[in-house]
Amino acid sequence: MKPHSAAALAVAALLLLPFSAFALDSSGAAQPEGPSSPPETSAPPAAPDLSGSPFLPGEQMIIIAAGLHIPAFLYTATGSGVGNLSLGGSFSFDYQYFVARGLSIGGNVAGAYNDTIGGLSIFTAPIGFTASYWWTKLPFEFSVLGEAGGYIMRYAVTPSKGMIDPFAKAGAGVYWRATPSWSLGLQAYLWFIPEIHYGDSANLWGYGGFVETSIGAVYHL
Amino acid sequence: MRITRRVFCAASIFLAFSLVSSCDNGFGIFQNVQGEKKQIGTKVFQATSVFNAFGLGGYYYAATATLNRSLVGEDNWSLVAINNLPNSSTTYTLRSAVLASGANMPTPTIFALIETGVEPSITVSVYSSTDGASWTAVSLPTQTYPPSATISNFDALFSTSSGDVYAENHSYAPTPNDPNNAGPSSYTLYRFAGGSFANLVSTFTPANDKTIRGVVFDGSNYWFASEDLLYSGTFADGTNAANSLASFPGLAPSSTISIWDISHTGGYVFVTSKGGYIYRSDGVSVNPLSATLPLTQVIEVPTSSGNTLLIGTDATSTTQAVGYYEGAWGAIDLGSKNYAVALNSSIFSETIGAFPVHAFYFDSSSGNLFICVSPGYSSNAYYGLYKSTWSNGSWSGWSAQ
Repeated sequence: MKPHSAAALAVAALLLLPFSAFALDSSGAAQPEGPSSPPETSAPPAAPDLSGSPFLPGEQMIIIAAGLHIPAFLYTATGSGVGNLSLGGSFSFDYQYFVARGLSIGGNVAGAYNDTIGGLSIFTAPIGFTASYWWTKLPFEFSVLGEAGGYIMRYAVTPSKGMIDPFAKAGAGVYWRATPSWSLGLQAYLWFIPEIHYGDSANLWGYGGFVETSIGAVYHL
Repeated sequence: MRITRRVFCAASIFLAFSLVSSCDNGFGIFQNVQGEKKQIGTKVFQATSVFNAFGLGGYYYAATATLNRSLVGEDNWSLVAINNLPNSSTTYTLRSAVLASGANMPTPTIFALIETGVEPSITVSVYSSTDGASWTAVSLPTQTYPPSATISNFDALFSTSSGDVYAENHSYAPTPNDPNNAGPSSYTLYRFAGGSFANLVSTFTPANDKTIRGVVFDGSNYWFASEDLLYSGTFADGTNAANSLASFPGLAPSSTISIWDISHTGGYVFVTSKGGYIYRSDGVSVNPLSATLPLTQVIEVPTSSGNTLLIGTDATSTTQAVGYYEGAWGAIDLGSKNYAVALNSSIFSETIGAFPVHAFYFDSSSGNLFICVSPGYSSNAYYGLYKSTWSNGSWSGWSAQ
């Protein structure tokens, strides 16, 4: 199995994890509560006292993450394949503000670096607006996130070349609520990076996909 | 408040500049990434300058601090033992190596200028070989070393298409206790004739500290170039050679020109300057290709759209070299190069795009073009010798040797 394929499977598993957890969460924060809830017949199991942040409107959080940046796909007018890109690294800084229970909006700044087969490199720095949905099954917290914005890319040829274009990413994270203020976890996002050219250079179009798998630290403000 | 505003304005201007300068609609990043080739060369050329390359007897030769060769078509390089010295790179340091082949050297012969020993007890010698295996010592004029009052030794060889070979002698008076901090240098040229380099080209006398940049033969005339002089004449030994600066089309007066290289290719003599000018023997100068970069050797090679020139660049103390410029005479492209020989811009960048070019060698029979560069010593990802092959109307693109 190629490393990229294995990495993609691992990422897919990670992506599915929050959804499976969500399906099992029959009494979690995302489940609507109402008078039809059955009366409790026995004492609830002891749970850590970390439920001070059920993601209510007005709450805020900052997420700092760093991890791997895995080339997933690359298409251009002249061919396809990511074999010329190697495994890279990424970092991100994310701010989120909850506008409704579990629903947050915010902004994200990130950077990612990949070497190329010829000894060059590309550096991608996206910035964008995010929308996330969070829920909890203590001590774990889950989120799904979408982002739209733009990116600056530098390609280390001589002289270096760059590009600015739209950017989008989507993915999910699972975190362990370590303290009332901090959560630590894993997150995985698919970065979609279109390269748009126009006029006489329209044939230079291309688009790439990268999977960010990172360790994130969430600070609940 | 005012300071905050200024900082904000400066940051905004910087950000706007960064954004604008980041955009290049005419360059496809992902396409270029896909166009890259993995460069795996020979360790001997890794992060090592190569100064010259040539072919003889089914072998290609490349000169670094050692002489190396590979069978044509094999790209498998090995050290050449000169004068039966042990096959180790530590036994000699190659200063220069050329191939002499032409009417005045009917049997193609390699000349290698080597240094053995350790300062101040070094010995500089020239050996010749017609097969790269057996070597014959060639007589040189007497050289002197410290603690002599004047140091005199040989530091470069030149050859012409007529089969003539020349050696540059460098003489200078060392500053007491510091031979590297030398006084004025004088450079003189000797010609190989009658089995030795005893024949001084006395008509060609560059001013102090002006190095000799090359000698070429255009089929009728010999051209001798130093930083400050350009002489030409019909005799290989320089007899009656005359100053050609004034008559060479476009060349500036000698007080302002600083010749950096001289080449004969495509039927013309090309003179390039330290200031980034190139001149052709029958035409006007192409105005400066670069205001800051010295230009080195020139070669004409075929492309699918006709012949093109490759013009090597050199670095300065403040500016990095850019490999070579490419294009037909009068239409040499400085920016978005044609990249016909490199195949694409990413291969150009990942190989020679930031390095000084010392020499080209084109073997028209096999279509192999070699480029000799100084890749620096900081990264093993770069090599001193790359090859691109012309076949069926296109180039293969540069690949490390």
